[in-house]
Amino acid sequence: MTGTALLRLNPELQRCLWLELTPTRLVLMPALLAVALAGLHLSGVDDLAQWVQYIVFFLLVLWGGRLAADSFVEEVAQGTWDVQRLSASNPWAMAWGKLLGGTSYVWYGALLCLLVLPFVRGRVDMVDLATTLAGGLAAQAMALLVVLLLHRFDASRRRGSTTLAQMLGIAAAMPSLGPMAALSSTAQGWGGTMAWYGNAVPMPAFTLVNEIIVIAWLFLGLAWLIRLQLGHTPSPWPYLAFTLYQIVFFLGFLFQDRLTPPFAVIAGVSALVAASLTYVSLLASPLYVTDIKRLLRASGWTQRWDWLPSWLPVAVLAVVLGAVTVAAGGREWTLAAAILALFLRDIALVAAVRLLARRRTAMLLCVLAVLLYWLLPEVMDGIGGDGLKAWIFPTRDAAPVSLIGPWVQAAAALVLATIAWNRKKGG
Amino acid sequence: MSDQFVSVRGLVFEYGANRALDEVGFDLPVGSVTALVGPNGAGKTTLLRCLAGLERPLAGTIRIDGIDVLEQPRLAHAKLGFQQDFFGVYDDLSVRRNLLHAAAIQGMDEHDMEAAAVWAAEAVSLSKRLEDRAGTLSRGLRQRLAIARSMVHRPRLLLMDEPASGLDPEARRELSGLIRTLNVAGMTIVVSSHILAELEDYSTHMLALRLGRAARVATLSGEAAPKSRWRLGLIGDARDALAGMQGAAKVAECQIVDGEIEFSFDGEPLDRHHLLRHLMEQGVMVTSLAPTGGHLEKLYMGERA
Repeated sequence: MTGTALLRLNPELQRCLWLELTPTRLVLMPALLAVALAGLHLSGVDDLAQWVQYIVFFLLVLWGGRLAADSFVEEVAQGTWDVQRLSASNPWAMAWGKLLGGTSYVWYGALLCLLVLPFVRGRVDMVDLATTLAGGLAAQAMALLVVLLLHRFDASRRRGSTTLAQMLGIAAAMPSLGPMAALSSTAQGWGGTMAWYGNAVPMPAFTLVNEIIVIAWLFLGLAWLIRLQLGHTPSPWPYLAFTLYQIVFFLGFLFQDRLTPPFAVIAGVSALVAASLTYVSLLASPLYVTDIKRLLRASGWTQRWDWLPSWLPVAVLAVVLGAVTVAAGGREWTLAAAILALFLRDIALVAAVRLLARRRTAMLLCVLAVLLYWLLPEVMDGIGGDGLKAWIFPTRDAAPVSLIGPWVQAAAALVLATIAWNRKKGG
Repeated sequence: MSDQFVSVRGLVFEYGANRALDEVGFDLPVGSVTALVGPNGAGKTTLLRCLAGLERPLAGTIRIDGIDVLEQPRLAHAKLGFQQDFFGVYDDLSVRRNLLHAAAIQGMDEHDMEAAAVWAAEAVSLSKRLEDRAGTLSRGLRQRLAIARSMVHRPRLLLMDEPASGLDPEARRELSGLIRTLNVAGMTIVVSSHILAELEDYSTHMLALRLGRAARVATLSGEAAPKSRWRLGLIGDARDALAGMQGAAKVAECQIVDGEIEFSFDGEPLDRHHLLRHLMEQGVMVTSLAPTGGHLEKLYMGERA
């Protein structure tokens, strides 16, 4: 394929390749790898193949995550991102062009490592290797996703977000993706299988497939964020779809052998997943007065839906699933009512903090979380046990009258959010 | 296709609680060069960014060549170019690659990209620097490259935000020539600048923004344009000369300014000749006759008043 053909196919990929794969760098990478492998060989390492896999992990996860984040952060710093935003390109093409193009140098190094693998001592498991490659891609996609998300909070932010993005990228690839993969990695050591919807799936295969699916979701997230940057209206659909996928995914672990869990448990776990993802989206989304005004001004249901913040439909889903859980006899209604109150309180508090505080909102929210979820409940517990704690925090078998506590908190937070809105909305 | 190439209605844009654009509405005809003027903070850059689809207004509609910019931003992007008030060039890429990339992201055909890059480089006098890295260019040359990037795909609408800033006098003159050339080639152009004298060289329309509100679009050339102002230098009493000018053809709004006479005149060169002969016959000792310039400035100050 000629340079201009690739340029036409994916301008972003070609641009990144021009920048990343310069003749000097193309020579430098094999030289560095040769020195590293020679050093390992001379030091008498038995399983050199395993070390090559570690090098691949280092290249793709540690370095790759950094490069992926930099590919965006550098553009913002240079002032070229606004030029890219004027593009007529497809957001999907720009997403994969940026992801693979920005990290092409480490993929070049990884490719060289794969080429030498057959010729070094020792052997690696192919599924393991595939998991490492997928983990690398996941780390890079996560890092790019994080810098794009942070850019939504502060478009003028020039630097400083790369390290955070890289760290979250590493977390996404430990050893591949999140707690499930960590669990599977442990089980893999036992040579075990994972029961999912009653099927026994070999752990390595389960981890690899899960990783690939999560990469697909990360990629969808990237394309969605780039689509926003290109001037399209947002939509809560992608995040709602992601939530439904996560519910289905986690429910799979409830079905062990031929046992089907009670309906109340299914609804309860679904509510928990939806509520957790509400918090994730709430904390990962900025709140702009103009966005709320657009929502309020929107004419027609389609337009209103498009301007809904991603967390809102998911929060409604969580509340509905929580109500279903109570109706199915899963939990006592007093506990559910107290949880609902704190759910509303938290949403209102985040909104108020986002509207009122100009800087360090993340720090302020962390302090509030520690105060409301740990310090105050502990103090109340210490003073008066569960009976008093129930006034500030949901507890089992609490007296209905103690619901006043959580609902007063919710009402106070809502009043605070209303004051913040009135102060910020202008004339 | 409507004669109104750019059509803006009820545009409202807010930064937090501050309203930057307040119910702005205007139409710009196809093939016009519009000078976007206004004091600092009037909302010129915000308006240009909204037109380019880089900022989403709170309310209002923007149509470019019939395309709703807010509904179909990518389709609109293919039709417009935006030279922003910062360079926005890739320092580590050569001039040629910068231009090829700009052409590619606007969806140009691969066979046309090379020729388009050469044409754009030539238009901004960068032909001899095609293989130079953008980062090695001087500030003025990078500014030219930014202009070339914005027009490489030959957009139907070119938006320029302070295009002359950072350019030396020679380059500014070349820029004026370039804008005229692009306009003659059929491009509709909107140029924002503080330097009104420069805008006057090539603008056919003026759009004045003040406190986020758009004054009317004024026509600077053509049938609907106001008459140009001229100044007559003379020796002797200007009041006698003023009396002598009364009744002269195509002359209006005469007034004495600093011992000379300023007047509106919409004649051709031959009419000027007749006017001068008429004045000589009246015994007026004419030393010079020249356009006053500052036409745009006067019009703008008139809008502000």
